[in-house]
Amino acid sequence: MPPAESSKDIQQVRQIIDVFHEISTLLNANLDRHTLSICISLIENGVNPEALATVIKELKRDGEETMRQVEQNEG
Amino acid sequence: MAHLAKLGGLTDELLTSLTSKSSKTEAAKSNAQKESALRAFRYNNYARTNQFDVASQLEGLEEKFRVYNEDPLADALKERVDKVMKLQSKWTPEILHLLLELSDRPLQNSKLEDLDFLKEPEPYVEPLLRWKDLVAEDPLLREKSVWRNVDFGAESSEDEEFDDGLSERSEATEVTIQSSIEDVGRQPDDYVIDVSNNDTLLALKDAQFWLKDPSVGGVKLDTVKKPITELQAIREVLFMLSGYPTSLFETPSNQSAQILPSKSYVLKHASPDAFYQQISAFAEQGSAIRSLRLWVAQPQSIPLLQVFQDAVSKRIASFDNCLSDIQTRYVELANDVVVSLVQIQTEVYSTSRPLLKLVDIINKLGEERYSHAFRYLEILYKYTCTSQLAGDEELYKFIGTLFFDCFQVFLRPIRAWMEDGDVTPGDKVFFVSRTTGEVDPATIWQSQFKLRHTQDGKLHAPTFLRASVNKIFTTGKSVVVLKQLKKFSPRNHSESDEPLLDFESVCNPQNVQLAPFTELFAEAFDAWIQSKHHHASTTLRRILFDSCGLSASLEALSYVYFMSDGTNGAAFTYPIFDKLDKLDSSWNDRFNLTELLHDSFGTLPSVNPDRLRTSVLALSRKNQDIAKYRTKVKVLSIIEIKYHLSWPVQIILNKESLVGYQRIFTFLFQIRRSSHIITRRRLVSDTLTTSSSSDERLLFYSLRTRLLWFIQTLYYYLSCLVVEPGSSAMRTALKEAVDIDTMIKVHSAFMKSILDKALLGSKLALIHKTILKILDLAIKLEDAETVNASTNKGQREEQANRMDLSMASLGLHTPRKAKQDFKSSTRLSKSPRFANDSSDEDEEKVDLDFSILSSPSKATEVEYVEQLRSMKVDFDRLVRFVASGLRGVARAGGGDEARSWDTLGEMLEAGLGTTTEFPGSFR
Repeated sequence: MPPAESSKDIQQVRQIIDVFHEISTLLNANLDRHTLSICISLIENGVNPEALATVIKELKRDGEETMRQVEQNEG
Repeated sequence: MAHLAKLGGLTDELLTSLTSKSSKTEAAKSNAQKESALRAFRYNNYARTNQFDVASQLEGLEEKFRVYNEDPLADALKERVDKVMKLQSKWTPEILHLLLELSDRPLQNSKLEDLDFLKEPEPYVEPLLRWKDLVAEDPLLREKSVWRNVDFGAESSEDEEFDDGLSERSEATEVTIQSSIEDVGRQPDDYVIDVSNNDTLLALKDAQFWLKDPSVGGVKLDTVKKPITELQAIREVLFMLSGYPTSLFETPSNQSAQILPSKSYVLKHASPDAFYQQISAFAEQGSAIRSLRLWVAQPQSIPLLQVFQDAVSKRIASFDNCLSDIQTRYVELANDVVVSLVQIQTEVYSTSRPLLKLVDIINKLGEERYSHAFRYLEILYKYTCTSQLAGDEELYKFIGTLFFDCFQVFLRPIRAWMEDGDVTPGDKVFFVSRTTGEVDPATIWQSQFKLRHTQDGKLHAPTFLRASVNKIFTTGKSVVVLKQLKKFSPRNHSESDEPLLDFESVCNPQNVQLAPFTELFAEAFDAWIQSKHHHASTTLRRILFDSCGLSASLEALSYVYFMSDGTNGAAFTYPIFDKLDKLDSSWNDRFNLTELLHDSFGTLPSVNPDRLRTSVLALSRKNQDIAKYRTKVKVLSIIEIKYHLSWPVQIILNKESLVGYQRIFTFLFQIRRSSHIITRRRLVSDTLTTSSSSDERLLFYSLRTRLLWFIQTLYYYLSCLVVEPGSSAMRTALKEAVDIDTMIKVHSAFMKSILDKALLGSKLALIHKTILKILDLAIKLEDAETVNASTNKGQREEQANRMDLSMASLGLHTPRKAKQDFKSSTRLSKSPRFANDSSDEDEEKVDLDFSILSSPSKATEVEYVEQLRSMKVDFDRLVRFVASGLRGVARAGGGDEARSWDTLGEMLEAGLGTTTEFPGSFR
């Protein structure tokens, strides 16, 4: 969005992200704001939501595993 | 690809945000993760989001919350979902789908309180400190005296003034939204510049002299002129010359280019009249330049005029540069500068002089409303010449460069025409035009392209190019013909091939300063044309001679039409004559004739028998009786030979010249007829000597000799004195010719010359007829002789018969002779007695001639001598007429033809000269 456009658009976008974040909190999707905005961008670029959901779950799992490994190594 | 790049970037971000803690470990692993993520995005089989599905899922979830007694949660969810639906985002279903997929036992885990955490704490906004509030609190502040300055340093010598005019205002607090958003909009206060001193303002106001109205005591005076400084005047003048509206000069109306000086200003130190004179001079120049500017602004559609406009605008731009240089002098004071209007005038005048000349040209163009586009080129050319002659170097160079710049564009179609033979169809400026429609290849040269002419009949080309137009035209046509022959190999025409045509190289100021421009230009342009012309023209000539067989065709034509080899000619003509004399009406049968032609001429190496055929014109109705018309040679003109030439050769040997060839052939044919019929009789076996009287013999032989002499002389004249030298001269001239047009001219001149010399021209029509009559005489002589011979023979036979009878009656027996005589007298057909062809024909003639003898036979013998006598008289008369006619015409006319006629006349007169009539010898 060109910066020359009014703050109204920015406000609107902000609102949209707010609402979605609230819904995701209610649904306990465990997404922070930043990740949510990235996901929205990905979906707007045509990525299939189910595929995206799968990838996110995998990555989270990987991350947790690595976390556990690191903790194990440290411990 | 951008899409993929975007996806990659976003995936990266996703990875870092999700696995941020472990990103510092293995980069390879994260790469692998990224790859697998991308793969999952692209190649998956998931179905599209079904928005109704999503909606129903959400509703179901809501119901579930309510069932499980989590009403607040349900309400919150419903509220948010409704909000989302109202937002009308395109991807709402997809995003909701995603969130649904990621949701992890919401029933258990979601807490409403989390929502509150979402809201970022608002920064604590302190309440605005307003003056009102302060005043409300502290009544002391209401008094103004609080704010008076306390002069602590009253004793000090310095007079300090605190500028406390403006009170400090508290800044308006910013609305704090998200910190990641940039501040939108700056306050107008930021733009306020503190102007504390007024001096520049006063100076500026002072300089705007046009605003000052002279007034006395508030009353405006209109008639008093406003004083201005000289510097201001200079500035105004320079602006006006640059084309801007000014106060010192007025333009009466916006459209016209006239600029008038305003009368309401005056210099402080000069008289009004002087000033007025000065600025009037400037105004004139300004008007001219303004009209130039207006003209340049008009749109033009023809490229020639566009380039002229462009060149003129370039000159105007350089003039503007000069003006800015002058202005720089006054603005950037590098040295001390004298401010002088007069100096400006001198400077400007010298720079603008060439431009004023241009204004002249444009005005001239405007006057001639219907001139062609290149009229201005002619005018430029003329001015270049005149300025050079007047010795005006600067103007000469100026206009010369302008001329050559515009000429380059004019050269473009010429170049295209000469190099490729192409003419742009819509181009009305170029002087070569193409006729529409398909043309026969043979007539390409003549008729496919034409030179454009104006309505006056003059050539549609600039005056200075008229001399070279023909060369340009033929070059293009040669290229077209070469292309048609598919033998055109376009040279790589690089720019370096052609000589450069611009002012520097043509009118090289160092070397050829004194040479007149016309000469220089003509020479340069000639060289330019030659560089293109030479190649195409020589190629075409070479090809015509070599591969198209021009020389072979010429040779073939001379063999066939001029019968240059007598054997072929005889082989063709004699059978025709014989058939004619046999009264065989198939003598003019086309197929027989063509076959005969092929047999006689087809064996020659240069003659291609497939191209050779005869055509026979129809006989007129009065000439239907073969017995009658065989006595006239005129009938032979119905036989025509057609030799078909290939179309490139036809460019040079065109149809008109072939007609000429045909006429000469007919004439030679007719002469051969008479010659043949006379020489056919072999004097060895002539029976005349035995049977006729001496005066008959004398008459006959003398007439025969004379006729023979006449015919031979004529034939010799035609073949050796007219055709042969003419042909060889033509052939050498053709080889030397430089281009096609010359060749065409050479050949047609040759044709015309030999036609005239061969007495076939229009002037000598009467002489030609007379000669034909003489030729007829030969036939008549032979016929008379044959008749006479046959009558004599008949008489002799009768006599012999009578003698036989008498002898028989006397008892002398001559049975064989009688039988033979009987045979010969009754069987009036071919007798095998003599193997001789001539006597065969004699017999046949005898046979045939009987039909002629429808008149009483008794009278013929008496008339034979008379016939001979009258024929002799006729012959003498006619030949004398011919000879004297020729000499007369030769005397009257001049040139080559007259000389030939004179020669022929002399030869004939020489032959006639010895004829004297012996008085009383034939009575």
